[in-house]
Amino acid sequence: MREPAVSVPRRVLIANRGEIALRITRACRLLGLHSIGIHSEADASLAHLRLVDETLCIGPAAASGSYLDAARVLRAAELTNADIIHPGYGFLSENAGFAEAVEQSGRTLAGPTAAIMRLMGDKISAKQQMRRSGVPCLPGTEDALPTDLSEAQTICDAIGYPLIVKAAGGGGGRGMRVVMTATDLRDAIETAREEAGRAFGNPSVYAERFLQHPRHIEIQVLADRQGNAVWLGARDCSIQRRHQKLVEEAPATGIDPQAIAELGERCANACTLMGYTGVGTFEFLYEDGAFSFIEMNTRLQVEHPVTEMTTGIDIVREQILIAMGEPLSFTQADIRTQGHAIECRINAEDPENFRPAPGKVLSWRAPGGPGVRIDTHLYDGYVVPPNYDSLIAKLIVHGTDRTDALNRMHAALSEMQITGIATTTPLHLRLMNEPGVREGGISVHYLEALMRKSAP
Amino acid sequence: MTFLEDLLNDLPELVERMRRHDVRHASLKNETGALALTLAPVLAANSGQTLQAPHVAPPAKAEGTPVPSSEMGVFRFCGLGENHSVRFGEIVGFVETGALRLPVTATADGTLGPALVGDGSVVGYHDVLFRIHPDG
Repeated sequence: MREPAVSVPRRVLIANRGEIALRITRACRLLGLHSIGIHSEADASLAHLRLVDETLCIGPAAASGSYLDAARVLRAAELTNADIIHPGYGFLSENAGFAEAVEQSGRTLAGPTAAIMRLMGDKISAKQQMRRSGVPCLPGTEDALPTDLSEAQTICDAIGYPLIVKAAGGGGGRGMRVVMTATDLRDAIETAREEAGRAFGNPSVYAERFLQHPRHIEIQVLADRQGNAVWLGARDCSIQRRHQKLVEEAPATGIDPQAIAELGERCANACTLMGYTGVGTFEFLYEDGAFSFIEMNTRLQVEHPVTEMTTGIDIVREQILIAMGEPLSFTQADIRTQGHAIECRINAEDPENFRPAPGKVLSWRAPGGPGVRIDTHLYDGYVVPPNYDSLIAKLIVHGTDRTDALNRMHAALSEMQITGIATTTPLHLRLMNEPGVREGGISVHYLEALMRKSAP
Repeated sequence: MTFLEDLLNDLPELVERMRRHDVRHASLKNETGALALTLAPVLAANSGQTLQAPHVAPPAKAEGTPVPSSEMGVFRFCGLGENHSVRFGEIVGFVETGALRLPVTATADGTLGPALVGDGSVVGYHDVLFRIHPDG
């Protein structure tokens, strides 16, 4: 008797918008997969919808009724017979409830399992898991701070000040309070709890040592369902404003490559130990030669292209192949990094005050030349809607070394033209010439200090 | 299957029969649920009657007034053919979304154009399913 043919998943629903939806579409086309683009009513003219095999409008402009509505996304997957749902980043990409619903529907999410997402989504259980795996963490509480403030005070006094109180279920700076002295602790815990409860539906907070001038360093990992895991080098994402990254680069300059390699190995081992699958990023603070785990992003990162440029590995293609059940086609020994890559996030924002600046793009001229890559959904006449994140393009350059990459980025930024709306391009141009940026090794507070200094 | 689900499944046929027999109102109930159905007046193609529109319909454009899908789902005909005269608010089709069957209603008075999607096709939220052209 013949064995029934194994069904190979071939229909990928792209549950996102903008540049990342276009990036995923390109990977699907490269793999010869049937791609399905879903969109909100405001997004019918998105660039990737021209390239996908099928499109479906799933709801109104508000993300809560479209891209964030798990039931609608799942219904779209059912209606279009999708096998795989690629969540991109943001929206539902780290929603364990959605991941669980996808699993229950018999489909595959391009990401880890719901159980792993839950484990790493809770910052307390994530830290416990990291400690078990030998990944370095900041000194801090093992569990959530007790509700009794006197008990919490005793625990925090033992950690020492300054410390930071953080939401267990959160990220992005919400539910977070820095406490410089013991007298400020109670207020900080109460406000962080209140904010965390409102933002994440989970008022649990924990405390850990606060580093005053850290860099943000992260390790990109890839793990398949067969238990193989690799790390693809480090990125430095220290140029941030209010915990939102603006510029990213790879590799992390000025840090001993051997220390990075040891950290990368620990991250890959942690993936194997917990049964992680897909792409992921371990985020660390780096100060005085030591790394301290902050959190793991269980999804594709905005800044993944700088790693692609230095390793030559198409991360999105690999991510989809993993979701299809394929083993990694390379081992750690095959991975080499070359040169230096930088990414600037071009946001539709006022470069002085970062206010969103939606509107019609009158003209768009992409930069070019050797080592220049642009990931964007822009075109002449495209209207940036006010409903979503303001990221409209990612300009990425690759140079032989960091100085070469900085020079190429400056040239590319000068060449790029976006008219009709305000963007962060002038700020990036300025940053590429700032002495601190040219030198490298700046802390996460650099940009805000620079903006304060130049404020009128 | 519940009484209401049964009824909703039979809704297209029920609407067609009500039109055929010029029935405007129907109400059905049992111990588990009740359904009241009121059809908007329809101008029969060859009746010669002129009926008053129940609402002031928005003006139809030259290319026709679009009739959008009420939801993302599977489109179902309700038996109205092309060139059928319709009134604003009249049911011209259905969209199945999970267990629900939602009506698609005319957005203007006029003549119904051809369905832009086939029966059983997947349609998106507010996708245009028909166009209604002004009479005369």
